[in-house]
Amino acid sequence: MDLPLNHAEPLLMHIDLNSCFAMIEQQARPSLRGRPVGVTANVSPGGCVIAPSYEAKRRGVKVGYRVRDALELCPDLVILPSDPDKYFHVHAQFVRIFRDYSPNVTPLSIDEAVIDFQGTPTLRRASLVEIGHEIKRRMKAEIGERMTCNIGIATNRFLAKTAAGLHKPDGLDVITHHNVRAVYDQLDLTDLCGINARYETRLNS
Amino acid sequence: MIQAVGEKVSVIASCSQPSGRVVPHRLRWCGRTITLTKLGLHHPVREGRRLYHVFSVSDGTTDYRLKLETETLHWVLEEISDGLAA
Repeated sequence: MDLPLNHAEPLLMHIDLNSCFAMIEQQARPSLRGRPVGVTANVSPGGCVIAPSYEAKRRGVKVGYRVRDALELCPDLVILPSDPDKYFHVHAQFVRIFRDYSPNVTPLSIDEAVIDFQGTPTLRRASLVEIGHEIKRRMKAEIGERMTCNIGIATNRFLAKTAAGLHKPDGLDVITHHNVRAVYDQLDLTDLCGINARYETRLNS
Repeated sequence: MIQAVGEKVSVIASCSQPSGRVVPHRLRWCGRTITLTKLGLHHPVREGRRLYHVFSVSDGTTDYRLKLETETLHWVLEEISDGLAA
């Protein structure tokens, strides 16, 4: 199948705060910065780690691990109870920043949003890459210096999310018709949103 | 390790205009005066009709969670933590 590529200008920006809850806790509690942190709704051995920090992820802790298993892997892991008020406040702060650039902001979850720049005057003063860097700077200045995000820019939501996942943490990537084939070449099937191991098996069968 | 405290404390804070940014600078607790060097995060919390402002601050080694009750203007030290695992 040889479908034509979309040659339109990329005008969708996907912004994703990875390890969001853990990053917010490290912002609020400076003594936790650089340490492995796991946020859980239930501080008990059977509780589930809902957000490990990047330091914890590097030590093998993943989302969904039981607290007891996470501590087995990473004995110095700091387990924190979740603080939804804090996370909602940060979510409101970053959505407020995004709305300065376009009225078409769609929050996808507490730590992800899509900005549609179609027809916005913002594009007259700067490119989307420059706006992406400006958003990153504003998040650090207006929310906290630990706040980092992954930004993906593309012609549709799926590619924008894929672009946001290319260089974690704190990446900014653009997928256009120029590089879409090269990007797909370097990705595994399970790197694509919505495809996990079982779906991969079905597609490969 | 996180230690719950829940005690009313004296706080010296500043409010700068036009941003309206409030920053706690000193805290008096257990007969000690603690100089706060860093405001990590400030966020509001509503509990029923009451509005609180929570300030996560640090003196460089220990983190403090201070809560300002807007109805009474009392500051409460909710917890302290040293960033180490329990």
